[in-house]
Amino acid sequence: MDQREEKGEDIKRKRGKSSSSWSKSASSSLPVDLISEIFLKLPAKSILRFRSVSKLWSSITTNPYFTNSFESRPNLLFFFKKDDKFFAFKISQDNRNPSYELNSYSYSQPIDSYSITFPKGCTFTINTESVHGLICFQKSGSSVLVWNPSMRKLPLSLRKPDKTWKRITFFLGYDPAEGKHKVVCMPNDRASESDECRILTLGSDQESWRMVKTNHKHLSFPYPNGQCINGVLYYRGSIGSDHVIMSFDVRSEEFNVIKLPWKGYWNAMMMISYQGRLACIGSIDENSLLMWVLEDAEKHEWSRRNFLPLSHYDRHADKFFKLIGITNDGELIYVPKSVHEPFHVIYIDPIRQRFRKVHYRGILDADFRLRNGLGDKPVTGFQFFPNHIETLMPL
Amino acid sequence: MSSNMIMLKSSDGASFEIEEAAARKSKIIANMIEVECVDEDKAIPLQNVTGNILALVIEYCNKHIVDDDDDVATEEASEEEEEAKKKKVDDWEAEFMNSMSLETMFELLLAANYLNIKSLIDLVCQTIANNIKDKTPEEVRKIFSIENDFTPEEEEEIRKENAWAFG
Repeated sequence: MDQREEKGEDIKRKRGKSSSSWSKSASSSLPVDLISEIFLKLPAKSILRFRSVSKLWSSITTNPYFTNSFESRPNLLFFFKKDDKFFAFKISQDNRNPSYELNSYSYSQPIDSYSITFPKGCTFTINTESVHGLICFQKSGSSVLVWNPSMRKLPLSLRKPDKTWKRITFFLGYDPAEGKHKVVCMPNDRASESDECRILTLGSDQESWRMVKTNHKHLSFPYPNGQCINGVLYYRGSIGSDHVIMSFDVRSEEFNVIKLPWKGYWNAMMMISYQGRLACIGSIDENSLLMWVLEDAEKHEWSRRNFLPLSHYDRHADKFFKLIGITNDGELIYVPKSVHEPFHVIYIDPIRQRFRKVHYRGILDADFRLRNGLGDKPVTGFQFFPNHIETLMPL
Repeated sequence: MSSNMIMLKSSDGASFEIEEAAARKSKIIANMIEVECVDEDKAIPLQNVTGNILALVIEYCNKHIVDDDDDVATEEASEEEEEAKKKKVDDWEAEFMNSMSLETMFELLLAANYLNIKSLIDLVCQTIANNIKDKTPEEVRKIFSIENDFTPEEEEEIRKENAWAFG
């Protein structure tokens, strides 16, 4: 306490002395917009810590204008669950200094790792995506949970919008124009198609479900995943015997149907954002990787691309690695199907046909296993969130 | 490529000669040139920038104008060359920022803001952010000459809310 007062005195003295001369501290005369500019380049953790610096700093960093514009570079976030504990790791998926040489093997450290205790009965569902920093998942088949991992608080729990709905499908969408997240929830009764839907806008005054008609009776599929790109959420569905992709404009809340260029159910398909467009990617057989890119949603126009499979780059890797998405730089991300030390991620640039394998040190190493009672078996049940950015969105 | 030279004058009276193309990195100076406020024989007075800081700004502008020229000249450059060039600029910027104190960075930031040089604002903000990201609130208060205006109770409350961020 004494010490702090002394420091305060110290600063006052310094300021007094410098007011008239060249040494007037530039740091104390920074306008608020420049301070914000510096804050925008900090990790969320630092910003939360600096909220206790002063009232001004606290008000800048909690102002919605700031929290809406804050977003970190995209990283690869992943969790696994043991009992009621979630273990989270964040690693850089960046190729800042690409080392695509003969030996395309490099080392990296996780940016962050931590564990958090969740309420009992939380399970991640397969369609979970990180949408502009938030993750949505389900608790024991009832409530929908929305979580901001960057704030490390407990997730926001939303009750099921309609008790009569036995099973539900839900997705998270983000409208970049207004900086708003919306949760979209539909009944998922496998026997009948529906045009019922409930929407909840996060952060609105009254967080409650609104009834919205989709105008297209359809069955929604929680698999493979939803994908939100530039304010449009895409998810898979079917109308009659036709498989389709449904689009939902997060801002106008309008639903549309997009016809698929292929026939039947494509089991291995996942939806990704490719150069700002929706793309469906997956293997057809062991020797090929196929991607359809949506060129024009209204005209149902798609273009087709064939890529070399993972086995072309690393002979046996397809046994142990699976595709989980693509980075904003256009690199396909392959992660281990079950995790034990050493932890590798493979990145492939399918256009330039370049391959890099990154060994992230310190993930699930002997020390970590010992501390957390994990034994020495491979760990499974990981959930991966590529392109996860940090946001300061309070929930 | 014209190599028109123009003169800039700092608040403490130092004059600097700079290529027009480099000076145009500053939106403010570019505007002055557009509306023909610039007299060839007269130096542009920059009242908010001291000579030592202006020298840094000019060093930055000169470096980046050369790089922009290169881009035009070698449009056909291969990706490897592009990557190598980008790395060279990154290395130069790291070296450039590494050579100055935090206080100088703040002065440079104010100058870049006054002269409206977006890429320099970004570079300095990023470097300051890297410098302070692991610091404690106390250390940051010192760096920014900020007085703690919270009561101990208020501060405790805020710290508790984000206790994990102090780990």
